[in-house]
Amino acid sequence: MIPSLLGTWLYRKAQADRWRVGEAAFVRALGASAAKADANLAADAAGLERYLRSLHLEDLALACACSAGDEEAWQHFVLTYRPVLYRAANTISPGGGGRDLADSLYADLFGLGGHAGDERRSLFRYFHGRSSLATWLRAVLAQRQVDRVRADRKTAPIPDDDSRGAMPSPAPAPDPERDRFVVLMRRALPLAIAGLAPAERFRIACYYSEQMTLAQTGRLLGEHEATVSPISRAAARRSGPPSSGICASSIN
Amino acid sequence: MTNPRDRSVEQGLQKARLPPAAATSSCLDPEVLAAWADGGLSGAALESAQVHVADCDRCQDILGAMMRTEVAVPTDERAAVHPWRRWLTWAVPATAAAAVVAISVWLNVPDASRRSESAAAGASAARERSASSLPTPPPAPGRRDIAAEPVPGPVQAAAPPAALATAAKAAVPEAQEERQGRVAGAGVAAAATDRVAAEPAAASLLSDAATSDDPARWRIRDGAAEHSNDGGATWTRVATGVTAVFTAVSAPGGGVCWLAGGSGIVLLTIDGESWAGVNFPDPVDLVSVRAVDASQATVTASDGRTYSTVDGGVSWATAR
Repeated sequence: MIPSLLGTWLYRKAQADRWRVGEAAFVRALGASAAKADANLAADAAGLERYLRSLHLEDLALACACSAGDEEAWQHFVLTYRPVLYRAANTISPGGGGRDLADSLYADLFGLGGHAGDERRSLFRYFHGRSSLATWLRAVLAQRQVDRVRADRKTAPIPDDDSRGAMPSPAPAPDPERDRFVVLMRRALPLAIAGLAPAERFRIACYYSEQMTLAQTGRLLGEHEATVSPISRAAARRSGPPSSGICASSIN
Repeated sequence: MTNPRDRSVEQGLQKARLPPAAATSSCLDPEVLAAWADGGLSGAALESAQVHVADCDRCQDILGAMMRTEVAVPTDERAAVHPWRRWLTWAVPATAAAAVVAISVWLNVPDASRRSESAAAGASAARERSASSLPTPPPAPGRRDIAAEPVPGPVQAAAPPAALATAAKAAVPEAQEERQGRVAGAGVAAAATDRVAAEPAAASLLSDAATSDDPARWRIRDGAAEHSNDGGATWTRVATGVTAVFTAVSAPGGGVCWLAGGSGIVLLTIDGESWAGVNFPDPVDLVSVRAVDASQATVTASDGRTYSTVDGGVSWATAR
């Protein structure tokens, strides 16, 4: 239960009346956001207020208005966010597929995904203001793209050395066991990685698998990028010896 | 990692993935991932998300795709979602403004130990030289000029809360004027503000009283409103129903009290107990309030704009 004074104040700060969103509807959206974040927030007045004040209130008001079908709100959304959607979609799915992805998402945001005669249900009902609207749209887009690619993927073999994105193979070294080592390493490395702490596994995955920058990885982990680099390298080194040990025992 | 086997490990790390997993009920939805990316997750929720994603390549892929689309967002919006950058934009001027306020208070409060003639003359000259570089508001009619004579005992300090010190630099003359001549139109005895400080000056202490004979006192202490019914001997924190940082108080009498604070918050009580939020047009930080009664009040924002109401806050007129 949101105190009426607080609800009114947040409603004004969000400028929700600009999009003809009623105070009661906006306060309901605030309540839904708090419930999604933490079911126990309702019992903690100070925590609830801190949480609600931290929301992206104007974005939430716009989402409420778009969900309700307000025309001006939709015009504003299209002008402001459609370019962002198209650019984001083209980044993760270049070559024309991005546009389809963005258009499909736009239709679902408007609520056109159901059958004829069904009540329009906008995807905006899942936005709760904990992030900016732009970030949320990017997340939805990314999820759709990833699920589409994964559905098309039949098997997931480990890519060969000459596959796109792989590091170039080093020049042949005068190590007679190198080829055997590489094969054994490929089997042993996942086991070694599984032995790392979750945060270390996550860092390695972000940096090596998802090709994120140190800054992006640090942001997700709440660390400065200068911290991520040595930690990532330390984690990679920690995964090395166990893998080498497994390989060495196999070779010997 | 320079030797060939180390390079192989790096290569392997790039390629090593868990077997592709289908979406599970524990996979993070886009709303959670977006909140995470924008710093909207904390505590147990953040830890839980990190632990899940560490072992879920689907969620890793989604996060990776999200990060790659970051370039699609305009730079100014990207800056807006990083709380630490928002912190920097006010913390630096706030520090400077707090220093200005501290110097101003120091120069206006003579040290009681410097009462000898030669010391007083020297200190007075030094204060004049220093004070000449700072704006010194004129004292209100009937008000002692506290800069001109030593004040025995503790004196009132009036530094705004640190959290809103961004406004302090522009508001120092305003705050001093407020302190010295608040609600002159309502006949507030300026000397009352001297007597209100019945205890050592706190870091952020603003106070008001209707008249010197009125035992009811109101004050802001460290951003919270406090009330006294015994002339300031004892104080109790006021429960307004809103957790906010208050920066100004004005009590014209008869149980009426106006509070103003950050982000355009204005509260009013007419019985000293129950509070109502006053409609305020702009979510700006407010640094002072002067009220005549329950209907008429003027508030000043941190940017110098003033807002006046004659109908208890139903409507406001702005002026610069």
